[in-house]
Amino acid sequence: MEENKTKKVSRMEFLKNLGRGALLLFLGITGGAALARVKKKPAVWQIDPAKCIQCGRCATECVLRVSAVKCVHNFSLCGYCNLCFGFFQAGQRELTSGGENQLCPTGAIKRKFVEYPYYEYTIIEKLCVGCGKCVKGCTAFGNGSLQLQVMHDRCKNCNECLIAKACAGKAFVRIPAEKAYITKEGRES
Amino acid sequence: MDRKIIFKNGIWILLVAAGLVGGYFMASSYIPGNTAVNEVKSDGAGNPALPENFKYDMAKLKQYDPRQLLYGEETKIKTGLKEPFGLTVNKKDGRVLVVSTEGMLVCDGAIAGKVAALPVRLEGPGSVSFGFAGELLLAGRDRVNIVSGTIIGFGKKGKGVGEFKYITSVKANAKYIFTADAGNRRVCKFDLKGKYLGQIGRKDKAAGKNFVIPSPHMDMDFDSKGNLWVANAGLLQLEKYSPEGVFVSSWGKHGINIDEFIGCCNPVNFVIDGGDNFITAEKGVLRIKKYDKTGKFLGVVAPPGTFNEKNTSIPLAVDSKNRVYALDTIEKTVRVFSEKGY
Repeated sequence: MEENKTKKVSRMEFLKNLGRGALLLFLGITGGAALARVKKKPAVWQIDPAKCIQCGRCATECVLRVSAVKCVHNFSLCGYCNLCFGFFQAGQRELTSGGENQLCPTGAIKRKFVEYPYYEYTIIEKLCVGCGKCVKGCTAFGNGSLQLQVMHDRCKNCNECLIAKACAGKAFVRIPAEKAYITKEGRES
Repeated sequence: MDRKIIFKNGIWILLVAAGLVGGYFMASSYIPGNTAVNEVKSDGAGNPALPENFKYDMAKLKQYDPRQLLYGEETKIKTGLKEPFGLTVNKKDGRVLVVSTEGMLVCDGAIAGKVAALPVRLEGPGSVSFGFAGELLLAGRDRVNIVSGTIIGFGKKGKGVGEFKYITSVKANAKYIFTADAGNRRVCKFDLKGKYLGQIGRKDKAAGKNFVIPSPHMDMDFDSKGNLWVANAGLLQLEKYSPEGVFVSSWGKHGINIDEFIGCCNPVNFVIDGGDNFITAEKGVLRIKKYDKTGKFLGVVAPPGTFNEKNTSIPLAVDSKNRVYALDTIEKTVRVFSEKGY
């Protein structure tokens, strides 16, 4: 008994145990990672409209030549305003679709008469560069129905999204790909 | 079995378990996505800033002439309420009431008071005011309560007769109670016991004016002659109705100048003082202004930059000394402005 207690472990045996331990640890890590991968759902980048401050970096920081971020219109929140501050330049001459009255520098918003005094505003996606100018006007003066979103038909889903790194409002978040867009529904302005 | 062998095997099992857990968490925190983006030429970080015409210059809209400032801030009252939404002053005794769904703050004029329990439970934010006989009118989102000796409640959620979607103002004169319902875009008239009498604001223009309310802001007040004034925010106007609820006239124009109402839908709040002057509050460019009874611009009560930018409305009240009380719902304070203070 006493002999057993004082028995020293040989170097060979120590190295053997170490190797065995490392192998088991590696097996465990591989198994755990595999399990996590099976359980984890794919994620995508998206802008949380509640945090977005329309800093303008979505338009300049994206790796794509024309940003993957676009303005989208949440019609359920829209007031269908005659004098939409997301569409009209502040201090506009008249309430018409004339270029000099429009806020959007690329003319990416279409204004359509519904019934007096209501108008519908639609984003022409291919013209939108994601600068957020209209979003700022609508958020400040209206209901905030215009919002910026990452469009996943063109987003490269980079691991290190450059817009997310530069985002002044820390509004870029990872969300499950199955629910790839965030709306403001239920929120008041 | 030998204790040593059990101990040794236990260590192996622990190592595997630690590996499993560690591996699981490492893989969980890994952000999946494409790593190869080299096929796209990077126009990324370091790009020149957006040209000026891509920027929204809010500072330009906030400019005003300091000579137009008529009022100064007298004091600031901390409400101690989580989400205050309603503010009123009892002109008879000078009591100031700030209401939230969890309680109300009763102040003696500009002197802060204590938070008390509400006499009745409110479902969601609404409005508060004192009636002609000093009764308290306390409205939640879709129900009005008349609190005097007893409590009479009326209304429920809906579009029908006597129903509400989103009450934003409740006011009473000697004969009627009027409710502004921004959700249904109408003003309803009730007797002092809550019996429905009629409404203002329908699509059928022959039956009355049509309210354009793009966002949940629709305020009302009475002038000294008992006429009801309603903010038709979508038209950027204030509209006058007779004490019976018949449309009389309106004033207000849109624009970015200080004497005009800015944005799509303003003023979001207003109150009429003892001299029948209008004190108006706007969102977007948060500012409080004063107009005379004909709608002529008199000056600024609180200039842009006074309130927390996150406010989307500034509930207002005036006392018998024409001091203006304004509720900052984000900072949860009541700001008191007076002409003397300036």
